[in-house]
Parts: sequence; structure tokens; C-alpha cells
Amino acid sequence: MTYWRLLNFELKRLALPLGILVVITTILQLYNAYSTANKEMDYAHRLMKVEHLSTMEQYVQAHGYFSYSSSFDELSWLILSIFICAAFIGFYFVFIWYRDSLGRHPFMTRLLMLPASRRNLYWAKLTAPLLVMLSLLALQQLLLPIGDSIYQSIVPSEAREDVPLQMLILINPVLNILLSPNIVALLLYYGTGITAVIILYTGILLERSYRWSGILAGLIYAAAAIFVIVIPLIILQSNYRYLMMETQLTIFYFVLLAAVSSISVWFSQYLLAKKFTI
Amino acid sequence: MIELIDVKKRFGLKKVLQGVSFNAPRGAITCLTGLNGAGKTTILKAIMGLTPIQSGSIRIDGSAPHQAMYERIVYVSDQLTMPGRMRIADCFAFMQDYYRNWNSERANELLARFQLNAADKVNSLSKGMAAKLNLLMGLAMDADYMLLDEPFSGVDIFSREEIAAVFSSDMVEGRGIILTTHEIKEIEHLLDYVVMLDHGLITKQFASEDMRMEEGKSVVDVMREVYKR
Repeated sequence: MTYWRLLNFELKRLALPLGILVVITTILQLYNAYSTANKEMDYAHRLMKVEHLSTMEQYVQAHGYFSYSSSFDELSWLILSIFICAAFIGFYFVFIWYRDSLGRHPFMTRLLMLPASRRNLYWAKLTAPLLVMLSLLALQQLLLPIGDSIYQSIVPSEAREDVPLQMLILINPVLNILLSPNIVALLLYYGTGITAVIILYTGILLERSYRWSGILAGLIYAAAAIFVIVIPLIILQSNYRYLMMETQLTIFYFVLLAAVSSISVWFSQYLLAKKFTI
Repeated sequence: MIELIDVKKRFGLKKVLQGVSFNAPRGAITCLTGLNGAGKTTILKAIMGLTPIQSGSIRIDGSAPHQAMYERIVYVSDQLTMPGRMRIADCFAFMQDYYRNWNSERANELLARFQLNAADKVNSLSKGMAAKLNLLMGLAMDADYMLLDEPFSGVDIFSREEIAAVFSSDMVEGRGIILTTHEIKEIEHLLDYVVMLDHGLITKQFASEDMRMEEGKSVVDVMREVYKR
């Protein structure tokens, strides 16, 4: 029960930043679709004038179709909006521990004195930003077809080549990671991301427990954990890569992720319960 | 009873507590005094499990401290421990959500007594009002023990009198209280036991009534003797 209350409390604190991110992302991505479509139409009309083409069919014959995929350029507003959200969530994973520990009103003192296991606090602080991240991913899923509709409403059907949204996701390297249609790849990316956060939390809790020597211990711990996780990649790059099949290496990678995450969660909870110093 | 037995604590190489042992019985006010850096706050935090100790033991009514004890022991820090953007009413709701022993009736009674406004935000409170809210949040819990860290720190004379009056009211009756303070004039007559600390060591501990009766000295007299050496 305490976990759900704490999660609710953390999510309430995140509601305003999440709302701002939703607005920014929506505006940037829909504007991205609108401006790309308008730019393409302007370009087509200019070229038609210069080349004395009277219909869009003639333009398409001469220059090819337009596609919504062109709005997925690496320097587009879409990528900027994803970058803003990723930067905020990355920052918040650190900030969530320090916002309550530092300043005039150390709320962490109160949180540590709640009459329930401190594990609840750990899980709430881990899952709240993850839920925000999932919310933003859901928004992303929603915005892609909306952006596509805006694009289609501006670029006439005879001038455009309609590409399925799944294909659009595959074309863009960033979306291919965030919304990968391949379930194994998706688990791989998110498993790695969540493990990275769990290792980061262990580092933060080491710092909060031992201060300066904790920073050093945290860095050593993170380096050791990362080394363990990348063992399959080292094997893949080495002369021993023929000893394991790709599937076996993937399973090995998942096992290592699970092992490192479990040890880090246990260690973090131990630090929070026994060593955390206010 | 809260018992500390040979408690030692280091911050890096600095020894903050060097084998501190004392008892704080229920139904009595025990005052920890000492100059800055004597280890008073560290003792309170160690009792509350907010800072780990290197060795020794802490027992509360015979048991080692555990998370469920936070229903029975209240720690009132010298800073407000609620987020600055919260309103006082939200603080009350938070406490009610998490603590079964939160007494809303008493909280509202104290709100009126301390002339605080439930709609005020925590970060808009003056130092005196913050100290009163802090104390209020401790007193509104039906706890057996209260640990108060410098409840008069930076508080004006009128707020100090209001806070001191609480210590002689029925709100603290039957509870075991440990408080740290430099400024004991207002509450000297209420203290049952005094533990004097210097650089993490207990230099003197006594029952204030015995000291008055046997040696004819007040707590302030003893403090002068001990700390002005």
C-alpha cells in the first residue's frame, strides 16, 4: 500500500513537467508534419513553374513522389522533441534523489521515517520516471498517425507515396530504438536502459551513504557492472565469436542484465535501509 | 525507555560520537546540551536510523530500532521536512495518509493555537512559523517518544515562549522527550535529565532535580562550569 501511495505522490510531482513535455512534443511533432508538407508543396509548385509542368502527375513523373518519411530527418523537430523528453527523463532519474535531500526542506528525512519498508521508496522512485517515459512513448505512438494525417491533408494523394508507419519507424534510427517492431530488440533496448538506471541509482545511493568515497565506489561499481554487461559484445568482437550462436549470445546478454539488475537492486535497497545518511 | 550503549560514530576520520551511553526514560524530558559539533544532532539521527553508527547499540523499550517504530517515535528536525511547495493542509493530508497515529483533531487544535494558516505554503513560512509547524507535526502524532532538534533555533522570543509553553502542557505528558538545545532558560524548570556532550563524549549527566537539591545548582550553572572551563 505504501508503495502505491508513494508512487502516486511521485507521479503527482511529475504531473506538471509531464504536461509541459506532452504540450512541447505535440506542438513540435505536429508542426514538423505540417511544415514538411508545406515546404514540399512550395518546392513542387516552384519547380512546376520553372519547368512549365501543369499537373502534379507530370511533376511526379519528372521528380518522384513525396513521402512523410522526409519529415523524419535527423535534424527535424521530431528528433528535437524526442531529445528534449529523453534529456528531461535522464536528468530526472538523478534529480529525484537529490531534490528531496538538498535544500532548506529536506523531505528525504520524512520519507526515510515513514513507518514502512524503505524498499517502497526505492521502487516508487524507480517506477515513477519509468511510467512517465512510457506515457511519452504512448504519446509518440499516437502522434505518428496524427502527423501522417496532417501530411496527407496537405500533400495530394497523386504526389505522395504512402509508407506504412511501421516502415517509417524502421527508417528512423531513433524511432527504431524507441518503438522497435522487433520484440527481442525492444526488450534488449529497454532492458539495457532500465539496467543502466538501476546501476545509476546504486551509484547515487553509494554517494548519499558515503559522500566523497561513495562517488569513487559508485564509479568503480558502475564500471564493473558495465564490464559484466558488455561481455557478450566483447565475445562478439573477439576470435571466440564462433563459440556461441547469436541467439545464445542474446540470451547470455539477457541473463547478465537480469543478474546485474538484481544485484544492484538488492545492494541499493541495503544502502537505503542501512547506510543512507542524512 | 531509549537506551544508548557505547555508541560510536565517525564521519570519515572525524570521531563524532566516542562511546556515548545514556538512558532517556518515557514520561521524562531529557536534554542533550553541548557546543556546536558536540554530536547532539547525530545522536538523534542515529536513534532514528537516519545515520548509521559504527558500533554500540540503540534500544527502544528493549528492542532494536526498526521501520515500524516510526509510529512510536517522532523526530522533529531543526528544518521542516516537507516539500517547500506543499501547503500546510497538504502536509496534514500526507501525514494522515502514512501514519496511523496521526491525530487530526490535535493538529487542527495546534494550528489554531500557533495561529498558522492551513492554506500557507511551507516555503512562505518565517523561521518562527516553520519551527511551530515542525513542532505541531511532531505533537500531532500519538507517539511514545519525541526527539526534538534545536526547537528554539533562530526563533524570536514570543514564538519561543509559545513553544516552551507546549512542554508544560498535557500534550507532552507521558511521552519520553529528548531535546537538544543551547537555549534552555525557558524550559530549564521542565527538564528531568541533562546529558552534557563535548566532542562526542559525555562530560556530565545528571537528574536536574537532584542537582538542584544536592548541590544547589541550576542546569545553567552546571553548563557554565562545564563549558567555560
